[in-house]
Amino acid sequence: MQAAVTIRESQLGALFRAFIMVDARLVVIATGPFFLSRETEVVPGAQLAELFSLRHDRDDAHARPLDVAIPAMVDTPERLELFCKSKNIRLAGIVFSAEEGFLLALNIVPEDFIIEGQGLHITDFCQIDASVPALTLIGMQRALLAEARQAAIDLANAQAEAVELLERTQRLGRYIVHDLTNYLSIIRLNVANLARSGGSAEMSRAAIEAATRHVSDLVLSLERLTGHRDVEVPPLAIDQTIRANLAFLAASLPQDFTLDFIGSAAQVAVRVGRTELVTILTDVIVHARGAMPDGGAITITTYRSDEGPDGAISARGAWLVIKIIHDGTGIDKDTARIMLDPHAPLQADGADFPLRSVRTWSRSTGGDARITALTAAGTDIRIYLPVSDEGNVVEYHAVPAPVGAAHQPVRTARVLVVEDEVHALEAVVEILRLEGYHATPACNAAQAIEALESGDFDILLTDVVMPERNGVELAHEVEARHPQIGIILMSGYLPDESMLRPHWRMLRKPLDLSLLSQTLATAHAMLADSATT
Amino acid sequence: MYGMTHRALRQMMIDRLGPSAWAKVERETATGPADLISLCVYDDSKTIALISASAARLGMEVDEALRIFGRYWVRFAELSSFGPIMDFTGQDLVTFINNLDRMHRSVVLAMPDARVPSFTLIEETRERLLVRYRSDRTGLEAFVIGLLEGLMDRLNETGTAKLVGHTNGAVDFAIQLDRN
Ligand code: HEM
Repeated sequence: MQAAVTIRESQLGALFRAFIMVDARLVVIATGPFFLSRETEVVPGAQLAELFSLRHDRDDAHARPLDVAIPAMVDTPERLELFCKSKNIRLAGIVFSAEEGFLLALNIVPEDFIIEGQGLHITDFCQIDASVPALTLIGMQRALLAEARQAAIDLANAQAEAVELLERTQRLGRYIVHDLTNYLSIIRLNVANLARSGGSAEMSRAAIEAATRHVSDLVLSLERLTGHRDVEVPPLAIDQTIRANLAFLAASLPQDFTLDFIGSAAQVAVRVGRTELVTILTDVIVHARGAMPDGGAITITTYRSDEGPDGAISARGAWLVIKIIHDGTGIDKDTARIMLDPHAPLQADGADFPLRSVRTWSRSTGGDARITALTAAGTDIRIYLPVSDEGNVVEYHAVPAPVGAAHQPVRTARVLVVEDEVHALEAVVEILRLEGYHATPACNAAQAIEALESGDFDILLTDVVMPERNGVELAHEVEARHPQIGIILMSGYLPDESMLRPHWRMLRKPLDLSLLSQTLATAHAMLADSATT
Repeated sequence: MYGMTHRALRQMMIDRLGPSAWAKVERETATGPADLISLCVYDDSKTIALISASAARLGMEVDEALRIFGRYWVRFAELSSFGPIMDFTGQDLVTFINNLDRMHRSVVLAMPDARVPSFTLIEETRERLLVRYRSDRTGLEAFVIGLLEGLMDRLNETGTAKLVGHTNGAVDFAIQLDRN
């Protein structure tokens, strides 16, 4: 057949990227750019039938041999599909007759339409080949699926993080509220003290100053917590800070306790807030106090260590360890775990374990906390903080001990405080101790009765509204058993008067601290009078 | 611009300055996960806001930030799930640039609001390539220089890319290759 149009080889290549020109015996004479641009066996001189077949797979038993099929297709619109015998390549097109033999006008048919791993490039397809957009779009769809999968994972992680953050914030929030309440009561107490003549004005002023500083540090922590401010915490000299605050720490312990400090980490600084450190140590001491109802000894030691909280050894003493040992009742492994586990439930009375805040805090600084029961008695609590090697160590502030911290109680009345709201309970107890009273906390009526059985008290100071037995019922019961005890009720509203005894005292909540100490003082004075007369 | 640029920018900022720096950029520009979907097309003002805020964090002029971002972008695309499309486009600089328009044309089939540029290789010698860039956007020249540098990194070439002139709304870039 006479050719109607003459096509140059380069044009042929633009239209049929994988064309193959063969002679009558199917020996390759020339090939298209698809073969030219890569190493293949499809080169001039090769026998087509050795490289390709019409068989798609082994089951394709009826496929004709190429030397029969190709001449039969010449110049017909019948589609020729060739399968490479050694590679996963498929070619498709039609057969023209040519001077030397046959022109196989072929293009690539991608297997599976997946770009990866086929080694195909855009240039392997002619300009109008729809395989290019098809492959690209399928590639994009796969990319999007991968992204969606990742987004789902990110979302789940973000959710878990948010929950964790919320829990942490709530926990820290509780501690901060508690600490603020305490400092506030110290301030109020000392303001009242200043107003009174006879108190030590210097001590009160110092205590107010110290408490104010702690409060402003707490505000800073809050700001950091809420992302309100990015605060770079400067390195803090730990030994000096603890030493300077020792009197303050001792103030949270009753008289039958000793608190010792052996600092052997002089010059070691850690990036932590001063008040956070003091607050955390207070928490540990409060925990220790709870474990030692009859008093005991608490020792704080500091040292620099190569060994981290996970036992891994680091270079050059990367850790500062604050070790607190007390000789109170030891705790078993499981309790220790629960005490430190941020996800474990709260205590039965709804309060958090003081040590949990210790771990949360030490982790937030990049460290951790460990707690071990000692074999005989007592507990070993270690706080690991990463040492900061930079200079600029913050000058420590000597925080003067607040009033009462000198352990010189003016009055020695023993007060049993009953309050179901733990933070309020702790605050009142704290204030009474600072005022020099022996204060014993109880979370409910049952605990109060128990305490009364094991100790002597002068005054019962009880909240009225409490679950189970309320304060009025408790007061009646206490008075029936221990008529010498003075009774003071605290309530946000005035209880049914018919239930009250005329000689009981009432304090309105929120408590006015000066009124509280006044009421306690008169109650105590009257009791003392009645005892002597 | 499409979200993949935003994702790439986020990754670059996280690599360079850490997650908190990016968090600040997001806060300043009121950006959230919905602005980071690869194949979503966002208003250019969003992309510009993100780039300016990032430039400020990096302490760079916007153009300098655009350039390092362009260079980073190529790396990001090849490491992301778009890697196969990059491979498909070409394995040498000349092929890649010649195929870029076809690739872009295919890509935008699925993104009706996208406006892709056009790149034409108008001169080619062993050591120098002259690339004509046409776009209905302006101000992205530094980004294109970064992209061309990124392509050189990717395709194992070293050399420089610079703007050599404007012709009828098109911008010409010369790539000088260190070949001998
Ligand atoms: C997998 C790889 C790529 C994909 C999926 C892709 C996709 C896109 C899309 C969708 C747009 C349109 C943006 C819009 O209007 O919303 C775009 C723009 C653009 N692309 Fe690509 N692209 C890729 C690789 C490249 C490469 C390697 C270069 C290098 C030169 C490049 C240069 C550009 C430029 C400069 C723009 C800016 C748009 C303009 O000037 O108007 N792209 N790309």
